Amino acid sequence: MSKILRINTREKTYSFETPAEDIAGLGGRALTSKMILNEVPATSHPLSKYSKLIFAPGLLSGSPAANSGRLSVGGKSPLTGGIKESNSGGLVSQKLARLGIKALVLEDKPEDDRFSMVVIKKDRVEFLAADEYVGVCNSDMITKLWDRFGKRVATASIGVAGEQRLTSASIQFADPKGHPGRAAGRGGLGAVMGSKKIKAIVVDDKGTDRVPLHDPDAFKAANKKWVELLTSHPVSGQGLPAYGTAILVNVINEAGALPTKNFRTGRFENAQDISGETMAANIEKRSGVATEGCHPGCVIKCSQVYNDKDNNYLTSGFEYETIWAFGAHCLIKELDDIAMLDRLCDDLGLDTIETGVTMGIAMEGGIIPWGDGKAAIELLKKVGTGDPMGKIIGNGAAFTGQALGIDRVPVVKRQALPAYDPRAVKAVGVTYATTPMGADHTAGYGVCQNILGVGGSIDPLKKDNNVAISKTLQIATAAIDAAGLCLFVAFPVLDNPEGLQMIVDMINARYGLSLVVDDVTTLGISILRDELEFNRRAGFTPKDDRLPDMFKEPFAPHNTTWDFTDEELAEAVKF
Amino acid sequence: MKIEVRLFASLAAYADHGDMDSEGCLNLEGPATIRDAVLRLGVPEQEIKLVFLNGIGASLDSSLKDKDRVGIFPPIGGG
Ligand code: SF4
Repeated sequence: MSKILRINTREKTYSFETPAEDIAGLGGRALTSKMILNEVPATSHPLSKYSKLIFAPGLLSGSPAANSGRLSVGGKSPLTGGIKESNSGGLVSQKLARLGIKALVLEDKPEDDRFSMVVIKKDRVEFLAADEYVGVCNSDMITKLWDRFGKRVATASIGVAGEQRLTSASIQFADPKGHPGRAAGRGGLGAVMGSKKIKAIVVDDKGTDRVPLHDPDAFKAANKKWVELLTSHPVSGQGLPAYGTAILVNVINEAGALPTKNFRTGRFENAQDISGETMAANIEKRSGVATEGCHPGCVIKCSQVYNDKDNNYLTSGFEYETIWAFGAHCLIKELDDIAMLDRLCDDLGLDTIETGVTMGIAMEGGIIPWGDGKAAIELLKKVGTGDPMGKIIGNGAAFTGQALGIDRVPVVKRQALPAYDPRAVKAVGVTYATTPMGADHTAGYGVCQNILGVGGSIDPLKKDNNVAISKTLQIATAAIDAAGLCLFVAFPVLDNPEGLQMIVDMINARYGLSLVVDDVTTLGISILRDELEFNRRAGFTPKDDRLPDMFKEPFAPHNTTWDFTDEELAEAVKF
Repeated sequence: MKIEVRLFASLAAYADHGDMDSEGCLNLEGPATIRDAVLRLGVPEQEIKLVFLNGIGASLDSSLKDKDRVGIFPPIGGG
């Protein structure tokens, strides 16, 4: 049976334990959220010794199930003050699962300022001094770790932002090629890792067996159908591999929902310049890689390698959200500048959404001019230099807005809003307001029904049905995160009534269970209940489930406003 | 009437059509629907998933008026 690996970062000791009964059947987000609720005092400081950082592979991770190598990282967020699950690709999830580790828990904190790293192998766990790596950026860090421990070991590392415990700090993961393009970005969990003085975690599964399958034949049959489902749906089979997530720039712009100049209007006149189509054309012209997976076993492959105009590597995992945040939100129209900003975030270890939105706040406050990509690059480079401005920027949108005396700050629970205006994509607006995570699109991606015509069609501009769909999606997403599946499997699953059954069949065949589809909903609800309970104990009330006043203004081109009542919003998280 | 037709992703190639003017507009004899516009440009109907008329979700049967803006997409997603 899989074990919990606890690491005491003060004593530099570790122990394996058999999971207690109430968590033995959980994985991914279900496990991180339950353990955080059980073990971290909700009122404790996220950077204190009472805080914990938990890495948990999903239930299907490590198995041959397609797109199942996603990792949940959980903790109390230094950005929001609430519970956080941040989900990432990379190699850690599958390798932990193969080592039979259900959860890796970083506990306590050292009294001195010396950084360490943790190396986990089949037969031992080691603490190694990491002083020599302090200040090293994430891409160099991966190179050094691969040189030292062997190519293709899994890595999780923090950059200077995490070392300095800035609240936008991410944890970056090596992708299969050794680029740091994968992140547990949202919510500042890199700062929690930095507070525990862990610069990096290396996971090497050499010598391990394949994960045991209770019924290999049934598993194989279910996974075969699953792969067919993922590869035959036009979105996961064609759209995402061809253009990545950046394909959304044009459609969200066309729908009048692309937040432009700090959420002032829904159309960016230079949208085409920063679109997925332009990105794909540049990748082709510059000998980049149009489509690749963030972990072995991904059959959708929405990631890519984006080169500069001299055909040299610039960045990978170049996502729509990032392009929007530094692009339309900041009025920057040079895609190469945005790619450089993405790379800097990956290297410094910063969440791209939070940092992009923050850059717009710096423009709002007159620190740099709107639309000036080069100035944005210079400003971002201040993070980690000791320049106080770098500390301000690295602490996110709410903090920067406060530092600059600005009232136009698009955050919920102090976390920056992502790339869809809540007035013109109301289902995702409900998610921003009500998810325990703080403004987060992935927690209940109503863009599917509002804009993309996936899983049905609901008017994005009116209130009707948008609370209900956000609630349904929040439940389903929590369950998908517990399974370790990439959220993009939702496109085919929402369109095919048999999709959920295939997931359930794979979990049953892996563990010898007899779950039914309804259990998925039950699991999703129980995860959300745990998260809401943690936030309640931390002091959150329904008043925190609100969008800022700026969204009461009419939003062009459709001139809609944010008009949900408090009672309507409360329905989204009533279970 | 003059209609601005915007074709995206894998459909962008169909915008390279002799009937489109330099501003990406198509002249149609009214009354016409969005289907008439895409037929004229030779866009195969089965490749079309999302249709926007002035930024609002529409269908191929939606009727057009002068100066309308039409956006046409194949199935796409992201997040
Ligand atoms: S579709 Fe994209 S995010 Fe999902 S597993 Fe594949 S590469 Fe990773």
